[in-house]
Amino acid sequence: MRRPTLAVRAQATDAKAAVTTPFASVKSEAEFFGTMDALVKAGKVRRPRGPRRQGASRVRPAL
Amino acid sequence: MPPHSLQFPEKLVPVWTDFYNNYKNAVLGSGLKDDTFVAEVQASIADRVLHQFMDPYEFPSYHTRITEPYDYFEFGQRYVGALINFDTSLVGGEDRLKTIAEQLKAGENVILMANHQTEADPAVWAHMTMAIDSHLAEQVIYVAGDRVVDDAMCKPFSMGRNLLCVHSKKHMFDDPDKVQAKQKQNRRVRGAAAPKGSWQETRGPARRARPRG
Repeated sequence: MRRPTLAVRAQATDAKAAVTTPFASVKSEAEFFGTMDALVKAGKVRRPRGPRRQGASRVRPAL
Repeated sequence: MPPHSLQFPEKLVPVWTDFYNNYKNAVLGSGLKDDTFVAEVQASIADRVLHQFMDPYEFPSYHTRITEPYDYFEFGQRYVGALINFDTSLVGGEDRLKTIAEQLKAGENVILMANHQTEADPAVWAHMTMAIDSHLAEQVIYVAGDRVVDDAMCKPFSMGRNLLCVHSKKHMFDDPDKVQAKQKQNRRVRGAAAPKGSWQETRGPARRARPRG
């Protein structure tokens, strides 16, 4: 019988993904649970802001 | 709830703590990986699960594995690979697997029957057969039930596999509002007419069914 080989790439990458979360940069158990706690306390996960549209106004238009 | 302000569910913390510790104990017990690897794998899963909370993926009746822009196949392989002892794991029936690979290459269809399939099985199958034939390892179509396509913790792993998404009789009436949609999806999967590009048209991939009972 043939022994299988472990042919896994070192790291699954997310280079082109449009959305990231704070977990993407975790490197340790303490960071993992720290991030989880922070997200629970914050109560939300925000999408990173994209580039502003050219010509878009920062001022809310008057009614 | 708008997608940009989704709450991280507090009830998930104890579940994930158990999940983390069980994975850590299993992986570190092998002596081949360290704490950093465990943290990075767990973080990658949490990252993907949060993506599901923010932007849920809906599985079509025939789902093709996603490898770009995020490689969900390698994501699953990496997680499960650390749980396999490759030094003591052997693949039996190599001759039959080679025969299957040859039949698939000739355009035949092969159906594999398995009972009590778990979420890890597709990754184990791919690891075990990769050394024999990469096509056989990667191009299986699995039959998926409700949980693997609905549960946010399962979905990222399912997204890396080719799936026929069906609803079992056991869970057909769990939610009365979804009965019609579930029945419609089941009919679509087994539909007599094979629309262009549908799974019925495909030739070559193995199909692994998971019958109930």
